[in-house]
Amino acid sequence: MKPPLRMALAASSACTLLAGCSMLNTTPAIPDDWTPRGSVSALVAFAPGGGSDRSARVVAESLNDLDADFNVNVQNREGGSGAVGWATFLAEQGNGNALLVAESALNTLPLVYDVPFTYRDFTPLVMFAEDSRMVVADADAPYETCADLVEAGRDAPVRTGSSGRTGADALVTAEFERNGGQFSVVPYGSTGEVLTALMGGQIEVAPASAASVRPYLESGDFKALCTLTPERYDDPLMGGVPTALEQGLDAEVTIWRGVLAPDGISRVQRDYWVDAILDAMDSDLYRDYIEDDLLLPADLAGEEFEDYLDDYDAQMQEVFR
Amino acid sequence: MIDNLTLGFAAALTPENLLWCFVGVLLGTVIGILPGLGSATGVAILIPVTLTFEPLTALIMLAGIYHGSQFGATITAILVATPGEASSVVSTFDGYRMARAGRAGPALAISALGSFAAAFIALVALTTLAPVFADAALGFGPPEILAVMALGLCTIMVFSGRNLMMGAALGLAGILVSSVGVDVGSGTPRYTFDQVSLFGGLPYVEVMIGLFAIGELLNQLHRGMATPIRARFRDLLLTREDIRRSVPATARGTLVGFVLGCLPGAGTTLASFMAYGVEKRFSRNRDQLGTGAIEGVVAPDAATSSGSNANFIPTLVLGVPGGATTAVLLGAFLVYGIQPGPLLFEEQPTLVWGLLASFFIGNALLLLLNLPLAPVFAQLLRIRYSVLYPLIIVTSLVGAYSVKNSMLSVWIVVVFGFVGYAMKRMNLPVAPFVLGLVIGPLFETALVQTSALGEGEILPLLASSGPAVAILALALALVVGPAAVRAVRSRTRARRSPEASAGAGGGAPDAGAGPAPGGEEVLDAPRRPDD
Repeated sequence: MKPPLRMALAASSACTLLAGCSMLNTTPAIPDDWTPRGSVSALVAFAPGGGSDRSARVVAESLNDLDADFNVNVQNREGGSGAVGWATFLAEQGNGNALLVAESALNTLPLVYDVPFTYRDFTPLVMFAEDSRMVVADADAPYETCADLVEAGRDAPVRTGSSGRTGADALVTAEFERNGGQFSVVPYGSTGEVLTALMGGQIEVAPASAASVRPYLESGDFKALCTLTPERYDDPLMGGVPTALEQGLDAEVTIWRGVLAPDGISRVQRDYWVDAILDAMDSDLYRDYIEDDLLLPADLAGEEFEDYLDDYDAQMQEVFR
Repeated sequence: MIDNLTLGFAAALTPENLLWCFVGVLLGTVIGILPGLGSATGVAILIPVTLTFEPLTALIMLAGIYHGSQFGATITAILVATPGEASSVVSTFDGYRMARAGRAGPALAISALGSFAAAFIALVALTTLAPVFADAALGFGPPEILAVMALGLCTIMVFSGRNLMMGAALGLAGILVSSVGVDVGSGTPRYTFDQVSLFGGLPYVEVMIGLFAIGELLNQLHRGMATPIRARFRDLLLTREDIRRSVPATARGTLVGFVLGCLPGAGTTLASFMAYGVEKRFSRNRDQLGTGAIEGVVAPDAATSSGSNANFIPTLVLGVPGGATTAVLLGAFLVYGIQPGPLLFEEQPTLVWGLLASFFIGNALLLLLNLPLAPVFAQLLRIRYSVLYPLIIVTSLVGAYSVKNSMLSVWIVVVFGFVGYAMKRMNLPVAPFVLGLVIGPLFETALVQTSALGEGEILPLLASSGPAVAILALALALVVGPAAVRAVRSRTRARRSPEASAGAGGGAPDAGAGPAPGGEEVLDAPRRPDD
């Protein structure tokens, strides 16, 4: 029987070839004048079009505008509220050519789910922005303020959406529940889907970032109930929206956005990236991003970022006990 | 409307935009041809390149890639059963059969024509009535999507051939494979065996490359090297008969693709499968489907094409991507500081209408590019398989590796290559398995959301939604109806089978034969029967 033999040969040689490729991984020592070269991946654990994706693209473009010997590509690895992407990033250990653009859910996810990582498994580089949430409802909805929502939630759960059970949206619900309201949460894949569900009338209210609800507020489809910021936004449209604090609720949500590297990279590599990212943040692109997306600028680097994360994590442990 | 389109064409027809539109569709075609490198990846890679462009020019080029890749993906699916894109998997069913029978030319040509016609119709609907369709899509919440996915699962029946239980089992196996990874609702890892690399699930593209490209290749090796196909010139061209048979199939495919394309998240892959399912059920030549019928090529391609254009309705009007590639395109919008949503059409009329006009131009360019090239591509099959197969194997494995730069992807291709080979040797239909794989996660998401909306109850929500009930009724009809018809037909066929298998020649179906039980047409005689 000739064909089966031929096939067995082909198969076995293919397997040997493949096995050979996977054994080629060796780790050379990192020289002091190390610079990244070629393709650098900036991993985002969320789908394109969302806030995390947008921040990653701004970081990537700003870095590319530095005209160094590398090119940053954004890679989206969505799934499991971020678990998939971050777990994948574990495998990059020691790789100086890999960046992770992440946000607060990196703290909250491991508190809720059994995942193989915590924020300590990565190397914090730079925190570049703080963000918060607003709560919007359909223009005809019976609620005017977030206090109304919490009040209504005392009798029967208010139906809200969430773009992830451990993301910023979940923090909003957690804050309101701490104030006494009950909510039933429908999981969606992204803020875009949550807002679509609100338009379609499937949910009653939606937490979302100021940037993503702005067009719907301008068009009059939605009305804003409150912001979860410590103070009102400094913006003609959003400035008219009171904070939850003003409405008598003890509710505030802060989420961080930052760049991290894999665990086990060398000091040289860490310093290189911290400097490069801080440089990149000097761009018009970054400034426009902060302004357009109604974010608070931040520039905590290295150890400062690490300390911030420790504090933040302690707070989150309270919320997600 | 006309004013808007005039504005759009004026914006899109500048020499610069025209050039980049052409570059986009050409690049897209190449990206589509390469297995593994799908349009989503292609667009994502090229976003940085376009950053120096005007936003409109950049979006025109990126959209050109999106359209071009659908065309390109079909070429390799038809010629060598290697789908370059998930949505062109269906093209392998009949397209590859046609190619093996020496009719690769017509298969490629009709695919280009059908795709263009479908795109044109979808675009007219898109430009005139986008807000209306977007409103309708808004009414489709989780319960309705759940019903659509249930309907999708029921089409497995259509793909199962004679052995329904086997088809259902393979469909469930597909769903089982699709459930590997972190689950949507709770984030619990399933079947990952503590392998972090499996958290993201078994990547769909790699599984496809394995099942189809490598599986077919192993099968050919087993059988002994197939001889190259030397088609006569006459066989490279479309016949009038081909076109006549394709018109209704294109219309059906376009409709199916458009409806599914409007729904956020359903995607074009499902549309192509559903269109094939519709052909299997309603086409006049449905008995030939799977043996190299032209309807089986043109309908799914039309669905993919109209679906990929209709995908822009939720993307542009609602700001919610319809599929993977429009999701990346949406990201591109944001990079340029454009926020898709209810005000996009009012605030950026030049951009939106220019982009829509460029879709017309891009599709026309693709037709001009692909129609004359169809016979040329078909000549690829003259290459000896000892040269062609190593090429396929290398591009498949390199393509798989390049998706995520991971060896795991390559192993998945190899493993599923053997799975595909085993399924072919055991004569098991691959389609139900693939369909389960595609629909599994979509079905699950809708199920989790519906259950959250109903606070743990699913049935009351489904029952209270008119569209959901209608779709479920359709699904039920799909499952029970044919079984009854088939029972009747198999009795008739038992009496007629001797003469039905001896047909030859063009197989001109008689107009008006209708779906009567006895109206089976003779097979489009394969010039090289290879089974």
